[in-house]
Amino acid sequence: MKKKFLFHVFILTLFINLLQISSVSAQQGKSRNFTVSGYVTDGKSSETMINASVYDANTMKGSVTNNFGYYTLRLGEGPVNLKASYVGYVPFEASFNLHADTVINIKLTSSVMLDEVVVVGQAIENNVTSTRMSAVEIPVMQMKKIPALFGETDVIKTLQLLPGVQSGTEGSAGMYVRGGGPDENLILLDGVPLYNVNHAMGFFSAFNADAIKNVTLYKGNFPARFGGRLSSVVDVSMKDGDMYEYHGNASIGLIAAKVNVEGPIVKDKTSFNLSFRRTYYDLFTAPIVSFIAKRESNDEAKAWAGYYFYDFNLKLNHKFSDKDRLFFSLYSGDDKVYARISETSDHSYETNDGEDWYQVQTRYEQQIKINWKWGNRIAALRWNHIVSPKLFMNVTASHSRYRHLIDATISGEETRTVNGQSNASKMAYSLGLNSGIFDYCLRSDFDYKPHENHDIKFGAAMTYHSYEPSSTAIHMNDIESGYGVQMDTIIGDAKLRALETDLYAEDNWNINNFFKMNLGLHYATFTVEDKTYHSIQPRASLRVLADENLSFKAGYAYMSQYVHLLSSNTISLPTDLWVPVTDKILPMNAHQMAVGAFYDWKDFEFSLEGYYKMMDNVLEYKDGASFFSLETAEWQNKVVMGEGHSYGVEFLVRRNVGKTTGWIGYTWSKTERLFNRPGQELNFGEPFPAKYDRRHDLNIVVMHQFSDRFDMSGTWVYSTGNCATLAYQNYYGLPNNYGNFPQLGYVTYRNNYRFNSYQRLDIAFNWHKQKKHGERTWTLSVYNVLCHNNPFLVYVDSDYVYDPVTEEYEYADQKLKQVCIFPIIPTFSYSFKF
Amino acid sequence: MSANHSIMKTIEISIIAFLMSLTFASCIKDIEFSGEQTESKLVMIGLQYVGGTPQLLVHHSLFFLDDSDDIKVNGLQVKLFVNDEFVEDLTVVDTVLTSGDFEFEKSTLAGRAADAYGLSMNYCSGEYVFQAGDRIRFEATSDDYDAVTAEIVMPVSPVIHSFDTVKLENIHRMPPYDPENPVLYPDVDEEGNPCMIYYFYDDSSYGSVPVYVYPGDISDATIVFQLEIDDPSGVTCYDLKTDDDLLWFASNDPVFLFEMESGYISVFEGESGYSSSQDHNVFNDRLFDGDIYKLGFSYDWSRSKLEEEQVFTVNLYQVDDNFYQYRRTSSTYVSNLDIGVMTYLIAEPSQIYSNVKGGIGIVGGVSLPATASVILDLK
Repeated sequence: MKKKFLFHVFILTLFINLLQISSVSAQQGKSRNFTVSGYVTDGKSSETMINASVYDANTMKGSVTNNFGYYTLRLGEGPVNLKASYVGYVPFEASFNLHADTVINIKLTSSVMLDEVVVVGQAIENNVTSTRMSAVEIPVMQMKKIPALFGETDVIKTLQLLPGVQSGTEGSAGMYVRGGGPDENLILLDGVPLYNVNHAMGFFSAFNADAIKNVTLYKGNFPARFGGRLSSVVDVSMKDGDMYEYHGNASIGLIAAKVNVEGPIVKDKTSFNLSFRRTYYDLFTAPIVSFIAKRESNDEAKAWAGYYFYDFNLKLNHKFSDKDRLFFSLYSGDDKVYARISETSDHSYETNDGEDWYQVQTRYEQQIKINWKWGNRIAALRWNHIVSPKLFMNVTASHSRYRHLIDATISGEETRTVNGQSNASKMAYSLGLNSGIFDYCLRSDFDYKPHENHDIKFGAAMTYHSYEPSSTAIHMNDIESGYGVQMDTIIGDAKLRALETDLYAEDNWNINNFFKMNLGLHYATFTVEDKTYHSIQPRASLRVLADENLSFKAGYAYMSQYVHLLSSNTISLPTDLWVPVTDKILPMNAHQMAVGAFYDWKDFEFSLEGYYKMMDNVLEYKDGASFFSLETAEWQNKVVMGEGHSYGVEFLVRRNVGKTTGWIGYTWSKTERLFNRPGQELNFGEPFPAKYDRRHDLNIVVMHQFSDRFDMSGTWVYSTGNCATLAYQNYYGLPNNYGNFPQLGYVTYRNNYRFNSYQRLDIAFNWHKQKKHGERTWTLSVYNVLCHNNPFLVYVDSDYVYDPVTEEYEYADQKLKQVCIFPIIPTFSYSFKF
Repeated sequence: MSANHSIMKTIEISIIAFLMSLTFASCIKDIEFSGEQTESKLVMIGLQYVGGTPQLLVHHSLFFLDDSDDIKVNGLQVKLFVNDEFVEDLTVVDTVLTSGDFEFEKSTLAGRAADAYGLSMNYCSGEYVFQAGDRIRFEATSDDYDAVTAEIVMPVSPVIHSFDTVKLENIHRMPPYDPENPVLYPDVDEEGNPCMIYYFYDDSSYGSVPVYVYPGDISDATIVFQLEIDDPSGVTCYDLKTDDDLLWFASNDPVFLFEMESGYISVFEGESGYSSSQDHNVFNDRLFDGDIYKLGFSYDWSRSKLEEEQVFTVNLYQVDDNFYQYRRTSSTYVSNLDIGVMTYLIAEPSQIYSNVKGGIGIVGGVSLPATASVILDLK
């Protein structure tokens, strides 16, 4: 009832707001307002700049560029002092008299090129003045300087260093945002959802930093244009490519090598950006595997096996005119395990048929071939069109695919020679397992500036999903060997098809100098198995400006999610599977409220936020359910639905400019789950801490540039240990029919045990040198410098001890064992930028 | 050239060695338990049968890092109440009266405990004969532990609506084994067609001598039974037992949904049914409460010989919900233990149901059986 009332108040407010826009628009004719619009780009490469600030210094009216670098201002007739700024760039300034709609394309110059200290101008939409809260943007240049595991710059792991974002287990790229699960994050690459963001069981993320221009994380207070996930949005934009010159960057690290090339195809018209990354660990391990196989089999077996992953990013960008622009984005990334084993064995023996003895020789040759791969591919075609100076349109057609394939074949031939006469028989088995998710989406987004105080965004999207939970193709042919087995069949779950539609509208409304609101509404439908789910998701945020350096903000967002990830909480497995809601498994919903104070002091930004999040229909695996299974049939029986809530306080102080940059983030939070629906009880219907409920998380990130030739960075991470379930008391249960008394464990409650706290100090040193054809950089990165034994998992073990009295071996000396997988890891990498 | 080659080789070996060292650098170490150490609890286990007398085993739990095997409770007293009225003090004895010996019948809980491990527990027994519908309560006190209680209602016998075969196909009579003329590897049947040969072994004889030969593909042979249960309204749980070892339930049966993993029926996947061992096939009526339920199954009869006049008998018990919850949760727990350390990575934890207030364990109730038979003439 209360929720309904709030919702009606919200709709009423939105309606009044729209009325006001109409009324103000009607008055506009009298006050003769004009539009100033255009793109903000990097002066050297023409790369568009996202979230650059553009404003009139006389009236302090302004806006920020959208995801395509486009801005629109509505200003009154007369003198205008137009300013634009972006972190790391020299501010732009131009004065003119405004008498008509004007297009000004702004080119900003990097402060690095001018050999100046990094500069930032006054931003119209900054930490204090913007309505945006629970959102953080991290410059890619900063990400590249932060020390990384095996030297691989990792977008997701950098985000894990922010308050409100928790990592999973040691080294994992999973993100747990404000008490949400890893499947509750909408990861967008050029606006297209990426389903699996992990490589190597989650130790690396799928993003190659060389290909990325911008990363923005929303932890709550989501703008209405986003939907489909409960807990966060990670909006990643790929570089468009330099319109004027060819550039590149090549680097080689401990496990991976990568190359990035960009440049014009037609100057000032068409550009490209191409990146490729591949691990080469398998080039070393495969010969070792081969050597071991040979040695162990006395040269009877040959083996060649390895694992690698790769990423490929391509972006094409074409300017038809000042009004029309086309982008094509392609990402393809796979993990692959391969194995080739061939084995030959010879046997000879004597036998008799009752009368004569004779010699039998058998030769058995077997080949095993296994290809196991999983990964994503996305492709997007986007068309930007400036309909009018007030209206910007983007239309996107995209495809996203995640697949998991296993292709295994075993073939063999047995030759039996008896008294010189040979008889051969062959057999062949093959197994193909295929699962995945395929999306096709058509989407249009509009930015509309009807009035100087209103920035309106609206749009619609339609997505066709095809889920293939699992299908297995089996081919067996063993007729000739005499066993008479022949099979050629496909088994598995039927494909599930779903249609998702989204409509949204939001208005960033500058009420007066003190109050600013962002109101939005997102409407979504999801049709699957002849059932349609609807959700109306209101979003709102309010900013109250106390003075130019201090503001208070509050926000509310309601989110719905129609897909679930069947996955382990500990590691990311290739068998992890996205599945849609069904008639049994309902959509997940979340209400999130947040309040915060935001303060700027010199170059420092401070924020303090508190949040409360309620989640409904969240999924957990049943007690004892195993998720390491290639069979996903009846997955709905493995999970149960329940509720969750999370609340906490986040503090962030950050400096983005100057020689020393970085941030300190601290989170205090509590997250619980309650599964008490009939037949779906966990913890016997009582609340329990969520797996990644952690009370304290502290992250300190510091980067310092000593000179043009040398800079260093360090991160220190401290967090409360993760939860696990341990049986603290052992006892004997009822005997089974064999008379055995099973030894059982008594668990007080789910997730009752806490790992030891997590601590890690990483450092990185970068040495740069300008060479004739470019700049080379040597990087020494040390992960976990203090070699702190951080827990990956904890288990109970006991030694097997000989008891001289009973003369038997018995288990004794029960111990708690902790596995640490990443002690100190030093890494060198070399890169060359040209 | 040679020097360059040596240098490259050295670099390559160094890199490989470095990578290998990183691979093996991950470490396992013993750690101190830093959680809140829980107190040992009194444990009470025992199934009570209608028509039977009280039987309980009582011991105390051990902290999981405790290597002690002393689980006996001192000064134990157990009282039995029926319908809230005190009935008797149970007799308490040690399951192992003298080391290495036991004097209890193997069929008793005490006998099993002594026979299995020489476990020294407290065995409690009484004289009262349980009746269906009795609300019974055990109260245990001891020198070192707080009092614990467990209460159940003794279930009434279930009602079998009918029991019969619904499918009988390709049953071949097994020819007797002729030791004088063993046919060990025939690859054709009498009509010259390829066929599968199954040998049945007499387990009692040494050397596993084949005693029966079954011609024809046994996978073609089918006997499907249907048991109709007249289920009363309200929560009712059942235990189905047969003369034979193993039942194969229809794979699409909504009560018994199986997940085949590693060739075993290992995980409780269905909402209601469970079969972990040859002993119990426990299920509840959540999906058919108050209706007549048709349960389809077949015996895994290929493992045993068929008589010319084969009698198939089912015994259906009603068990109380506590026992059902215990069986369900404890079996999940035990099956996860089989995965070992990997449990922590690839499976969710599990909690075992207990109905012992103030302690741990399970006291369950079992009704008298409802019995039905089918006679199959294979002559």
